[in-house]
Amino acid sequence: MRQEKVSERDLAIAMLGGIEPVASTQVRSAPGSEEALVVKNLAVRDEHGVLRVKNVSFSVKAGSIVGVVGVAGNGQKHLTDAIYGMCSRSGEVYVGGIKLAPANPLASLKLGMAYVPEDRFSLGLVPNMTVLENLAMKKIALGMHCTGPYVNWAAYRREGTRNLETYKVEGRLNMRVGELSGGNAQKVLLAREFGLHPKVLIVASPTRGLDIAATRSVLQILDDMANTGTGILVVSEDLDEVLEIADEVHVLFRGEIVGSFTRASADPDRIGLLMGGSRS
Amino acid sequence: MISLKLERRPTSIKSVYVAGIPVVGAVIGLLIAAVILAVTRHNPFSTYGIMLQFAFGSLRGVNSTLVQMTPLLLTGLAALVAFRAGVYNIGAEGQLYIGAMSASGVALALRGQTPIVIIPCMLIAGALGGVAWALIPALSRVLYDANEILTTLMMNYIGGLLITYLIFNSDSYWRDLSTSFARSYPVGKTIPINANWPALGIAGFTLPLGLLVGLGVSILVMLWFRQGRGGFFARVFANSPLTAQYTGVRTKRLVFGIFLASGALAGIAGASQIGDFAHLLDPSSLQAAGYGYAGILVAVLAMLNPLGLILSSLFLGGLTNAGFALEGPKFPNGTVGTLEGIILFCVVGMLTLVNYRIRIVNQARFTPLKASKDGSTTAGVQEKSTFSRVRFFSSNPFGKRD
Repeated sequence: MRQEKVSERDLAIAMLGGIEPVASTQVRSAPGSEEALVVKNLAVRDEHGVLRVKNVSFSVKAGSIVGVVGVAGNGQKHLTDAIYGMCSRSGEVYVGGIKLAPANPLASLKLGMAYVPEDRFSLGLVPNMTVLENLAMKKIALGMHCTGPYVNWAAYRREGTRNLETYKVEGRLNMRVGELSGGNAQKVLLAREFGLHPKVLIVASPTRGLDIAATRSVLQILDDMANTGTGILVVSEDLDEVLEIADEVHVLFRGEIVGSFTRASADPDRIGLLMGGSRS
Repeated sequence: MISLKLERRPTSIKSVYVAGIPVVGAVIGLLIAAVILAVTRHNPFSTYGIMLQFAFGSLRGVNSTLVQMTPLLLTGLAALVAFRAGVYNIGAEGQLYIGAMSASGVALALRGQTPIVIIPCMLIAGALGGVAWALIPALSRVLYDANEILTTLMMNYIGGLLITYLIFNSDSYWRDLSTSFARSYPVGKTIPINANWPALGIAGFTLPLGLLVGLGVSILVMLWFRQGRGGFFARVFANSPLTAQYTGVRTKRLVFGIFLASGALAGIAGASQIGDFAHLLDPSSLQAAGYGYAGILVAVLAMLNPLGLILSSLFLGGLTNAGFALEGPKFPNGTVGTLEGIILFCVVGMLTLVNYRIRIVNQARFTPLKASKDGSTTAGVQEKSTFSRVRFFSSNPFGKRD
């Protein structure tokens, strides 16, 4: 292809082997008025006592997607981990109006919070275990399809087969997750979290390392999830990705929110400057 | 230059190959051992014949093998439960000592009671003894993140010294002081006859109670790991502790529970030594046998599979029994130990191939480029095909551009 004649879209089609990419997700039903997630004055210190997140407050409405963008190393992981309850924090977190206990991921799960961490292979999934086991993991933690200590794997197998079809995962239930491609692994992770029917989903860098087809597919899944009423918090350093799907964008710099925009008012240049630390 | 590279298999291999790999290892071990036997002027065929005869070839041999198998199965279970959950309890040895001490203490204290009272109490006491000895490393790990390999190993020495003290260096409750002979040559009190564990006889085979307990627990452990919530979380934790935390697993509670379960199983092995076989606390025999450490080997041989553990403990029990049968003037202890060691080494070594594969790498392909006098680049030593590839990439791979 000659450089001057080729567009980004042409390249995408060529990379997908002549297949049209999934249409960009722009239309979503109006978000509800109920607050799915409220974060108030959140502050987080790391294991060395350094303040990584400072006085962060925002909310996510049911059925809406809120993005938090920032250059890597500005407190994103501490922010998402603290909201989910993976580390201690000060400040308050409410899910569906109920206050969450700090440092208790199981309590967060029970209240309807799902979390897709950034590192899908070492934090989100267990590569050495099968797709079926990875899909069932959090539901078993919640005691679903369990009779006392007994796990009903037949029920999980039925559900897993449906999940593979719904999310178009190229793989089998008895495959090790480590054998899947990055895109398919991310779909498994999203299928597992969405299977919990959460009130709120936190997802960090959802498309990092994925090819163009898998990226479109993952963004489409997130959009579909929001349309079913789940409030979604997307934390990413990929501004284009966040602007494409989010209704509201907050900019995180050195652990603080330094700017907030709605989709209509979002100016990529201005957000880019804020991400780099410019306050002007 | 051609070299061999060990690399992780990208996909899992079929179960039939997994089962075949240790068998191939055993055959290789037997072949290597045959060379050593031939060098030391022993006929390998007749030696292996004797080993097979004494281990599995007669009723008496099988019964002796089952005796050896019993503690190995129980300590193997203790190691398996812990290792499969990623908790490295090396302390089955010490936990077995304390289990034996507790069970013999209870048996002596309940003298005069019926077997139906004494035997369950001995089992419980053995398990609790093992739990008590595992408690210190468990708390150290959970509260202070102390390395359990070191703490459990240290506790083994303390346990060994404690039972030695009870019999050899003190007038303890466990020591027999009833005769002047016993006072001169320290020995433990023999437990009452009512405290001797019964054995199940089937078609001439004698299955000690400890073995039956071990077989039953193996099945329960298999079901727990396959169908149980706790077993599932233990596997998640073993594979990825952080993912377990993200999944909502209470990891500290899990590690603590696993530690105590492992300790209880090792303690039951100690109780079985008293109730089934020794009938008194004998520190020297217990420490010489090293069943706690051998249990780790049994668990590894079984690839942490509870049903495989039955086979591996039977195999190692048979090998140990055959070793006893061989020992004599013609076969010094060292030769027997070497034979056993080579066979086990080959089996365990071959197990590496379950998760890893050996690949032949032709390093000529990666020979660094050398610049020649005319400025072009060529590889130093290479095959013809490699040469053409290097030349291709040293020129403009994109050809003419518009």
